[in-house]
Amino acid sequence: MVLRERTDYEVTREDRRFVGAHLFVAIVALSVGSLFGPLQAFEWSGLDLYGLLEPIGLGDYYKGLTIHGVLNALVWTTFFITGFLTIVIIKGLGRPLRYPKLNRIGFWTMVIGLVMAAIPILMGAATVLYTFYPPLEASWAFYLGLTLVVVGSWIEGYGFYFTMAEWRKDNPGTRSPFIVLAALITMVMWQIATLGVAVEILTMLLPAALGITAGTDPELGRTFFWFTGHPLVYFWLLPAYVSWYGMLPAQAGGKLFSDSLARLAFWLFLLLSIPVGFHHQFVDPGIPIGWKYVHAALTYGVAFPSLLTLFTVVASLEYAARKRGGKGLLGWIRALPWGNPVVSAQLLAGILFMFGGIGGITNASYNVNLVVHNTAWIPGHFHLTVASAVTLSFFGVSYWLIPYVTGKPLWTTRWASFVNWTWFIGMLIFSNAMHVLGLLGAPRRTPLGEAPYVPEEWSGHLFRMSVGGAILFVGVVAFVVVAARTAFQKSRFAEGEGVEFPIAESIHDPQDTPEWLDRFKPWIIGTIVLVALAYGPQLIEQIGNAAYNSPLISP
Amino acid sequence: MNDSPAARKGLGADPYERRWMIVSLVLLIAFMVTVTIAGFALGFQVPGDESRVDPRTVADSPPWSEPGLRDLGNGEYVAYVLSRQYLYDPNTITVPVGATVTFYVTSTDVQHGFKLQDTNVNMQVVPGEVSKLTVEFDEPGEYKYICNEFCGIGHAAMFGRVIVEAEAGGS
Amino acid sequence: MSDRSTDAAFEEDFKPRGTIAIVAMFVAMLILLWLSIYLILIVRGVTV
Repeated sequence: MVLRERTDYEVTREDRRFVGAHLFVAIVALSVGSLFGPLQAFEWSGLDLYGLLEPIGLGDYYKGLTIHGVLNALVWTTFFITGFLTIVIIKGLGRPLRYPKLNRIGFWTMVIGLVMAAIPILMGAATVLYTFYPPLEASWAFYLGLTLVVVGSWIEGYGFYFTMAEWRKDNPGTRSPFIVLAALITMVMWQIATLGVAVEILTMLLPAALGITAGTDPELGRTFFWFTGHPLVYFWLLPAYVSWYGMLPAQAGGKLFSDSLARLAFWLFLLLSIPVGFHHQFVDPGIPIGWKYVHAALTYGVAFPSLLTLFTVVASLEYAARKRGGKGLLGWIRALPWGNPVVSAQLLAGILFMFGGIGGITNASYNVNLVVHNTAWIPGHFHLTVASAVTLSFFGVSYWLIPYVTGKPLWTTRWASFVNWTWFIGMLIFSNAMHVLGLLGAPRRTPLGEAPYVPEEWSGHLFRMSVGGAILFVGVVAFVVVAARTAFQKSRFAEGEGVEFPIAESIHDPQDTPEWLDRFKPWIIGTIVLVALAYGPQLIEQIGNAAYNSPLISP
Repeated sequence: MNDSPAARKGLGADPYERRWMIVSLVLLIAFMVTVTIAGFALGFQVPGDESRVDPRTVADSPPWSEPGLRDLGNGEYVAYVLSRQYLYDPNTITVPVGATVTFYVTSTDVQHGFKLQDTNVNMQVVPGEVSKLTVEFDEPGEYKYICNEFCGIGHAAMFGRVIVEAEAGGS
Repeated sequence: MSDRSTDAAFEEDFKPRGTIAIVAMFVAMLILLWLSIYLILIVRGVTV
């Protein structure tokens, strides 16, 4: 098989298999996690199917919700992202990983961690949802498993850094390829951000779960958790941005509008993703309003690079469409290659993300958050972000990446398009209903079918939400079928056929990009300083006054 | 693309993008100013750092040993509410219309939520901490407070109600 | 793939008019939706 390559480095069979292994785990996790989505959606409108699952030990709404959250939000994303970024590094730099064994160790650490966390969840010994707020009790194996998943992703990140360092040595004075820089920034941000949850688990949750300590300090636990929890969503989102900025323009037949702005956006994400966590704690006790206000302002700051992204990505698409002959103020939109599911997935993801972004700015708005905190609005919001902007984009990436790593053609363009539109329509219905329910006061993470306080006026929206959930389920089943049939079919690309690795050229020569947008050191130092300023005083306050007097209690 | 590479050396941004950056910043600052005025001048404020308690003993010591409503006079009330798996104590609070009630809520076990429907009282309830917000009841009727944080298997049943009576009277 | 010179001419003429229109619609929608939630906050009353 000969693949047409943009960089002359031919990815080895081992590397393809390695990336494919990431995708395999990711999609298996997605397919299991998604089984629970419609069950939750149906329960809310009074159709309780959990009784049917009782004989196989899955009759508990919250166990299902834990599986849905952990597998879809944490496992599907983390495995897909590490796999995707691996191929981005290899092809972007045009060289093999510096220490392939190191990356394999990272991957297997993640797999072991996943199995370790999955067993107690399935046994009902970790029904704590994916936020595992203390003092809800989960098995030590759950906490240790999650830790190993994170540590494994760190190790894979180290492998990327070594590879980059080697490339720098061989290419002095050359601007790093944008997609590689973006992938590395994502990893650096992730490694700083996950320190919060690492400290929470290692100093508080694991010792308490093992009986070494008598209890936890729940508010301190929340502060540690959200130190990681918000940048976590950017860890999901930035790889989608890698594709939107660095690949989609090429896939749509154009170029990246501005190389330097794309880099600036990523640096701002590094700088601003982390010192914003208190916006998840706006209504918490134990945090002074002053710090909440500071984080509200910084959260508005992290909206800024996403607003830049809106302009740059749309302009890149407009450039592509006009080059393809698109005319008119908005008529060019029709000239985009909507028939290519790789492209349509990302376009539809982007449209949904516009609404996700508007909701996100609302959530960030300090007191406005009182209207929506812990209501159905919040899952409505993050289904537009992680489950649309991210997941639907990853579907689009899968349509070329699975063929790329397996050497087998996509099965099929038509079915992949069906997945995209189904997901888009289902999500519009689902998320709109969830947002409205939230404004009416419906709580999140609650089986409303059995709640005694549900007023009649919610029922129409609950039904609408269930319809959306059902459509989404059809979409995800279709996606899993497309992925599996593509990967496990017999037929392969004929000689001379294949998938091109998409790297978008920039309209402006990357060599013209200022040097300060290609250096890690000042930005990392800036990030650490900003995080220390925004978190340091309140963290010192909370650690100094910590009272570990809240014993773990089973849910 | 009328600008030369030299002109782009600074930020390296396209002129259209530069304008968009300014618009974005203005927009975000306008939102920030709006929420700041509401929060710090008009009284639409979030909970702050109130006080700490020991979740193991809080139910045995005043004021939490006698949870419920206190009439401070002049239509001002204070309500101490204990949250536990899976109920609020008290689960019914009655006040006259026009009452201003400050809620102090804490938990004896795990985290809970306290969302008073149709008002802006919406708080995370955390063991070891006291959550505090105030509400004015201008309309008579029944306002439910519901737990909106997962607290265990019976979470969906956890709620209470504030009854706002049309005439001044019982508490 | 068109050759370099037509590419350059095309880039010289390219003005992201449609992008500006889309971004303007986005801003209008953002302000409208955000304000509607803000109004709900105001209607539900003060908290201190």
